[in-house]
Amino acid sequence: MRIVMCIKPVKKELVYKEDDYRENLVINPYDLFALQNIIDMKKEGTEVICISMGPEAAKDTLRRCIGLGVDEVIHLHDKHFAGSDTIATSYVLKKAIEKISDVDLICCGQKTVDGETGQVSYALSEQLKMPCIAQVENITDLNMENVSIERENGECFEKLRVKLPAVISYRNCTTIYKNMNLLRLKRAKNHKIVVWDTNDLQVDKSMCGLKGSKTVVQDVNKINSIVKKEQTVLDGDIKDTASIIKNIILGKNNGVCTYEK
Amino acid sequence: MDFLISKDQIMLKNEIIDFAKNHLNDSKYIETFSMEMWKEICNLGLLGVTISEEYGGLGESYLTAALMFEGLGYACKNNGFIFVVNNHIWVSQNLIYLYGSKELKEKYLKKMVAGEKIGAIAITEAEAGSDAMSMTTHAEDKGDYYVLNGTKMFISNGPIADIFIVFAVTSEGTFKRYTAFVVEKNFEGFQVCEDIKKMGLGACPTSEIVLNNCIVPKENVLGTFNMGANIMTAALEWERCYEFAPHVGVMQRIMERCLEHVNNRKQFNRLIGENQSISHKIADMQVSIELSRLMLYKIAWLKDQGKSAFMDASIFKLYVSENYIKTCRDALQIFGAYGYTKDYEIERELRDALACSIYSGTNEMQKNTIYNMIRSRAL
Ligand SMILES: Cc1cc2nc3c(=O)[nH]c(=O)nc-3n(C[C@H](O)[C@H](O)[C@H](O)COP(=O)(O)OP(=O)(O)OC[C@H]3O[C@@H](n4cnc5c(N)ncnc54)[C@H](O)[C@@H]3O)c2cc1C
Repeated sequence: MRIVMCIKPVKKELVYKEDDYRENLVINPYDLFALQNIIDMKKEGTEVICISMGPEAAKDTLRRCIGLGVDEVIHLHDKHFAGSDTIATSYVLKKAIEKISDVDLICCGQKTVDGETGQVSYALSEQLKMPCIAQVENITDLNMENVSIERENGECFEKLRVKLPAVISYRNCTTIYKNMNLLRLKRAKNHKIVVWDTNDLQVDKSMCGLKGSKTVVQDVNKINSIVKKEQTVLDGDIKDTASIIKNIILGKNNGVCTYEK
Repeated sequence: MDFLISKDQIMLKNEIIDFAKNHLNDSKYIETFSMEMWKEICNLGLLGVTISEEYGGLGESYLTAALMFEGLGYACKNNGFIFVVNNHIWVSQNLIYLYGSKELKEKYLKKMVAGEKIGAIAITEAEAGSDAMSMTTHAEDKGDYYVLNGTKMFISNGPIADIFIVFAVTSEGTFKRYTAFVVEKNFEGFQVCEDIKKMGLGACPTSEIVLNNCIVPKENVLGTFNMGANIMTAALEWERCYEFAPHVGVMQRIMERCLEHVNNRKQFNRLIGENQSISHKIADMQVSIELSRLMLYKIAWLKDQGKSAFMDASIFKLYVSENYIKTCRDALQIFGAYGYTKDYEIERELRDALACSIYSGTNEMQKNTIYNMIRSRAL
């Protein structure tokens, strides 16, 4: 059985608060959650391949996937891929999946924390002409014919069995590394990463990168930096508390604490 | 001394910090050993940090290991659990790696690196603490095997360990001689006693062990027969370096907590950190962290060069333990009554820290060692 996991490297500051020595790019948290679930479900004879379209630094992200237990990683790297929007990205991913061949299951995170579009998994399933199951919480069973999943759908919790091949996307984004192994990570350092470019994939250059994109993302920045504000716990009598809150709202000095407007 | 910390080394330290924050801080395991946490750390592959890949280890340098253990102390609040890990790695598994015959390595090392077998060291006896050489546990040669008799005291990991490095007298007379044996818990005549309740380090179980006509196969002699004193000295050197490496990280963590507190807590309408008597405590903490860290890296570097670091390890042990305790004591003062409560966990940090002036040889004994070494150099 062959599973392809699509990985997007994202800027570290979009994921981690304080950290100066992590690599500049980290695995998109939704993808990380998905990847770890896949590895938990991996049985003898199952091959998990990670593919990632991105800059040179994406290689470090892919090495980390090896540390987590995937069998092979492929870097989709070419200057013509730069600036791809969701349609162009899913086109390149589709070409890579076709080149890998005999893929039974394709997994993605629901969205990326930089683009936030949440469209790639749908676009990919459309391009591959495969069913797409979104909002997946976890896989409960996986065999050559079917994948059984649990997912939330509005108010209810669904258990589905889907015929393979299929595309699934995970809704969770808890960023905890569960399956990291230091020896695998160390070995990954010397792992020669397979790189596929436009020629290898035989893509139509007008359908990928900026040329193939309808959207143009100029930059991604974190702008809402957290400002620590002064705090006061109001745990007195209910009447007094209500009057203090009223004064706060009115911007008046309330005798307990002053708040600048 | 000539070392540069590489990006890869920092990455590994960071890996441990990440791991420990997410997997080793479950508060329900602060007072009891957790097999679940043990399995997690085994899966990470930390146990064989300096052991060659042939035995499933990472084959990293001692300097990298120092950084990683500093990171472990920084991110893992469970000091008792770290103590379990350290005892297993540095004074049990590492001794088999460095002194064991090929046969012994084949028999035990892979399983220890994988964490399937837990290790411990047994030197101390009820009547032989600081004066370890006055031990009475002895081994008798019975041709095909040895018979060990005696009782060992305060053995960390005792109740959970599978493999013990036991030191015993093997030659009486003017020059007493000692031998180190690798003893399995399942060997005939080996008995582990009840868990000894301690003031701190609750997640590391400790016990007495009894060797009552304990039968040990000949091939389980560690290193050379009658040369156990050398192994004991080496064990102490490793212990004084790497069991204290996490304490550098713990000091850093406590300092950061204090810094946050003094910059939030107001009394007399100003932050308590604006009082010099408080800010100086934090400055002292930083001085201790920096100096301990440098000494740690120096020892690790010496070990990477294959050199002895016996006196340096004693100095490090003495300095770190005194300042680790002082840091915890000062933190408690900075947190006031909150620090004295169980909820804030500062009192636990202090209880855990207090043991470190006793284990690995008391601080008084370190001063004896340091003085004796500089004296013998001068003579
Ligand atoms: C948490 C913990 C874990 C331990 N784990 C292990 C273990 O895994 N394996 C193991 O073998 N042992 C272990 N020990 C035992 C430890 O090594 C001994 O406790 C230590 O060597 C001191 O011996 P003692 O407690 O008998 O004190 P004593 O030797 O009785 O000393 C009592 C006091 O007298 C002082 N003193 C004694 N002699 C001198 C001297 N010549 N000069 C100046 N002062 C002196 C000491 O410094 C100390 O203050 C552990 C101890 C602790 C606390």
